[in-house]
Amino acid sequence: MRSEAIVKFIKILPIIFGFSLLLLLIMVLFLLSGLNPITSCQLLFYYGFGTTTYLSEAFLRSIPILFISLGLMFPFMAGIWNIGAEGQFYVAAIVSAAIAIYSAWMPFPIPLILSIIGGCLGGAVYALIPAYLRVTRNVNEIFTSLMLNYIAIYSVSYLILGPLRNPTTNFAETPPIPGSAIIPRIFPNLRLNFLSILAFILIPITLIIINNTSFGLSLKFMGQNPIAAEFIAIDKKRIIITTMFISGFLTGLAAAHEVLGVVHAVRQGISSNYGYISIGIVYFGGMNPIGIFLISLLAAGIINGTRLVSFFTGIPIGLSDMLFGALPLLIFISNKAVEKILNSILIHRKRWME
Amino acid sequence: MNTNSIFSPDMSVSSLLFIEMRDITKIYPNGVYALVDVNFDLKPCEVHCLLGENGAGKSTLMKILAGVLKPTKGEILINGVPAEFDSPLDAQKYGIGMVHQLFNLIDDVSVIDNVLLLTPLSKREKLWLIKDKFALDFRKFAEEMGLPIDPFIKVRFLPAGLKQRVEILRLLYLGTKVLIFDEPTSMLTPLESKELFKFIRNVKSQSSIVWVTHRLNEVNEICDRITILRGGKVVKYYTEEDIRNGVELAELAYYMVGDAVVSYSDKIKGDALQNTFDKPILKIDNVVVKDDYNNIKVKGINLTLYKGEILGIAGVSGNGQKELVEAILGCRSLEKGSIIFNGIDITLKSISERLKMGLAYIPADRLERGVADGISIAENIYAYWVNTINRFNNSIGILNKKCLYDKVINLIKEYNIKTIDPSLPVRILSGGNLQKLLIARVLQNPCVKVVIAEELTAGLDIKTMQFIHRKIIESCKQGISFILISSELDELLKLSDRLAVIYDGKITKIYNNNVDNIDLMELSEYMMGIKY
Repeated sequence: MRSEAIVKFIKILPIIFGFSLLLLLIMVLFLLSGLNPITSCQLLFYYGFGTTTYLSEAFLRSIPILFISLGLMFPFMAGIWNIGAEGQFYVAAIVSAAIAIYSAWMPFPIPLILSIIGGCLGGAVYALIPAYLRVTRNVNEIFTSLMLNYIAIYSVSYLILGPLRNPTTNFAETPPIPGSAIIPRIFPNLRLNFLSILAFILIPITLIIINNTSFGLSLKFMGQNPIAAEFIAIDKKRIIITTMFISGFLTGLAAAHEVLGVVHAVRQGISSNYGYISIGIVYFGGMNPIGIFLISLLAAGIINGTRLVSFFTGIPIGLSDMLFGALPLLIFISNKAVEKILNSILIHRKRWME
Repeated sequence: MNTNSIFSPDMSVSSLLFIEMRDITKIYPNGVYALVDVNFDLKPCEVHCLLGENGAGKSTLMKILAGVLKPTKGEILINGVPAEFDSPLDAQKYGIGMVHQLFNLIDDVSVIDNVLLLTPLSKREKLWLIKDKFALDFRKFAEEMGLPIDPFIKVRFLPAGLKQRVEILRLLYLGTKVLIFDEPTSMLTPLESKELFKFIRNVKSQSSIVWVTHRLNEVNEICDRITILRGGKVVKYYTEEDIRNGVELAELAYYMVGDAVVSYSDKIKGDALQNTFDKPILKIDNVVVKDDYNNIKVKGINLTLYKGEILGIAGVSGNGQKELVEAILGCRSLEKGSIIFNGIDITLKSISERLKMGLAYIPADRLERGVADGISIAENIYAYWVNTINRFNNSIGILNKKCLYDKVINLIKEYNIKTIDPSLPVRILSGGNLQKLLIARVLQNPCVKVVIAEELTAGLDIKTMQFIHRKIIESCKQGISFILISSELDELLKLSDRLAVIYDGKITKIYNNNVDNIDLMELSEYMMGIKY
C-alpha cells in the first residue's frame, strides 16, 4: 500500500506547485501596479479569509464554483469537453428567475422548489444539446458547447432588456425575486443560505460515485482510452448523455443558488465567469471532489481578496479575471514541470543505486 | 581489418563492413537492464542469426546497431574504428539499415515517394525533383536485384510480402551494406518466406545480414552463425563450423528458454476428447462488410461456430480479418447478411449489448483496444467485469470493492501476472503479463460464451505461450468457443479444431478435421489465393 501513498503524493504535487506559481503571478501583478507585493498579498489573504464575514463570503463565492466544478468533473473525466457551463448557467438562471416571478402567488416553499428544479433542468437540457449532437451526428462537443454559450448569453440579454426587464428601476435586470422563492439564510447576518449546504453534501456523494460505482469506473476508463472502452462493453453514448446531463444539472443548481439565494435577480454578468473559471478549477483540483473543494474555496478567497485590494488601492478590478485566465496555463506548466522533476529524480536515484 | 586507415564514411559505404559491438550494456530509464556486456560481431558476406525469446534484448541490441538507441556502456567498432550513432541517419551514413517488423513505410504515398524520403538529394533536386527519372532508375535497380516492383503503386495496396520487398530494396538502393532483419517472416506466408530466403542467399555475396528471430526452423535455412540471447546476456554462440556440423533445434530452444522445453512440438490437445460439435453458438450468414475507405472487404462469408470448439482463421493479414472481427463484435455495420448468436439475431445490436450477451474480444493491439494504461491494473479488470457482469453491484449501484479486490488478487496469483501491487498503473506491465491480464479478465467472466482472439500469443515467450494455450484448452472443455485469428500458422494448427482460410474477403477453404495433418504447401496456396 506504500506505493499508493506515493502515487497520491505525486498527484498533489502539481497542485502545490501550481498554487505557488499563482501566488508568484499575483505578486508580480501587484508589483507591476506599483504596490508592495508582500503587504498586498497579506492584505489579499486578510480580505479573502481574515474574518468570519470575509470567510463566509469566500464560502459563498466558492459554492457556485464548487457546484459547477463537481458537475464538470464527470464529463472531463470521461474525456468529454463541456466548455458550455457558462451558457448553461445563464439559461438556468433565467429559467429559475422566470419561474420564481411568475409563480409568486403560490405559498412559500412551492415557488422556491419549482424554480430550483426548473433551473436545474434548464441547465441540463441546454447541456444535452451538444451531447445529443455528439451522440447522433458525431459533432465535436467542444465547438457546439462553446458556441451555445454566446447564444445563451445574448438570449438572456434580450430577455432582461425586453420582456423580463425590471419595470421599476429600468436597469438591465429582471424584477427582484419575490420573497416566496428566496432561499432562507442559515445565519441572519451571513449571506450563506440553505442551498449552500447541498454543495458540501455533494462532495462525499460525488466521491463515492467516481470511486465506488461502475459508472465512475467506466468514466475513468473511457477518459483514459475511449477506443478500448468500446471493447469492454462501456456504452459510450449513454455516458456522454449522462455526464453532460449531470454537469448541466449541477450548473443549474449553481445558477439557482446565485439567483435565488444571493443576487435575488438576473443581471448581465450574473455568472461572474464561473463557467469558465470552473474548467481550470477541475484540473487544478486533480479531478477529485476534495481537491476541487479546497481549490474552489481558495479561488473564491483570492477573487474576493483581489477585488477588495483593487477597490481600496485603486488598481483595475480586472486583476482577478486575469489571474483566472492564466489558471489553465499555470496548471499545464506545473504538471509538466513536476513530471520533468520526477523523471530526473528517478534517473538520478537509479544512477546513485548503481 | 585495417585499423590504421583514416576513417571516412564514404569509404566504408563502398567497401564491405566488419562490425564489432563490444561490452554493450543498456539500462532503460525505468531501471530495466535490457543488455549486460553483450558482444556481437558481423563479418562481411554472412548471415548472423540473433536468437532469443521476446524480451531477451534482441531488439534493443539491434536498435543500438541501427542508431535508434544509445548504449549505456560499450562501443561499436566499424572496420576497427569506434563509431558513434546519434540517430538512425548516422547509421545509414555508415551503411547500416533495418528492415522493420511492421514496416517503416508511409501507406498513403507511392513506393518511389517512400524511397525518395530517405534518399540524400542535391540542392537542385531538393528544389525541383524529376521523380520519373528516379522511378525508372529504381525499377531498373529492382529488376537487377531480382525483386521487380512497380514504383508508382501506393504502398497501401501492397501485400505484406511486397511491403517488405520495398523496405529491402530501399535500403539496398541507398547503398546499405548491413541489413538488419527484425522478425522478418512474422508477416509472411510460408511461400513468401521461402522467396525471402532465396533472396537472402543471393544478396549475401554483397552485404552482411543480421537475422533476428525467435523461429527456430529458419535457422537451418540460411544462417552462418548464431548468437543466442537470454535475459540480456549472450548465453550461447555457434561458429560457422558448429553450424556446418549441424545444430539440434531442441538444443537451440533449450538455450533460448533456459529450461528443458516440455515437448513443445507435440500437439497440446493430446488425446482430448474429440467432442462432437453439434450445438451452433455463432452463425455468420452471408456477411458483407466495407472498410473505412468504403471498399468491400468481406465479400459474403458464411461461418458457423459450435459450442466448445476452436475455429482458427488463417490468412495473410489485410484479407478482411479485421473487418470480419469488427463486424462480429458490432463496431462495424454490415452491408448485408446477419449474425445469430446463441439463437438470437444480433445484427442490429450495439457492441456493448453484444459483449454483455457473452461475446468477448482479445485484441491484437492490446494497448489501444485492451486497456487504459494510465489507470491501475485492478481498475482495468474491474472496468470490464462491472460492465459485463451485474453481480458486482449491490441494490443501489455501489460496487463491492472488497469482493472485487479479492478476485483480482486470486487472478493475479492464478495467472502468475508479475506485479508488486495491483494498484499500480497498467503501463508498468510487460507485453506477456498484459496479455495474461486480458485473457484472465475474459476467461474469469462467467457469462462469456464466445471469445474472438486476434494474435493470441504474438510477442510472447514460449512459457507464457504454453500457459495461455493450456488455459484456452481448459476453457474449451468448459464449453467456451474460440475464434482464433493469427498470423502464426503453428499456433493455429496446434490449437484449432477446425481451420478456415480467408483470402480476399472470402473463405476459400475450411478444414473440418485432421487439422494436424494439413499439407502446409496446400494451405499456403489457399492463403495466397492460388487455389480456391
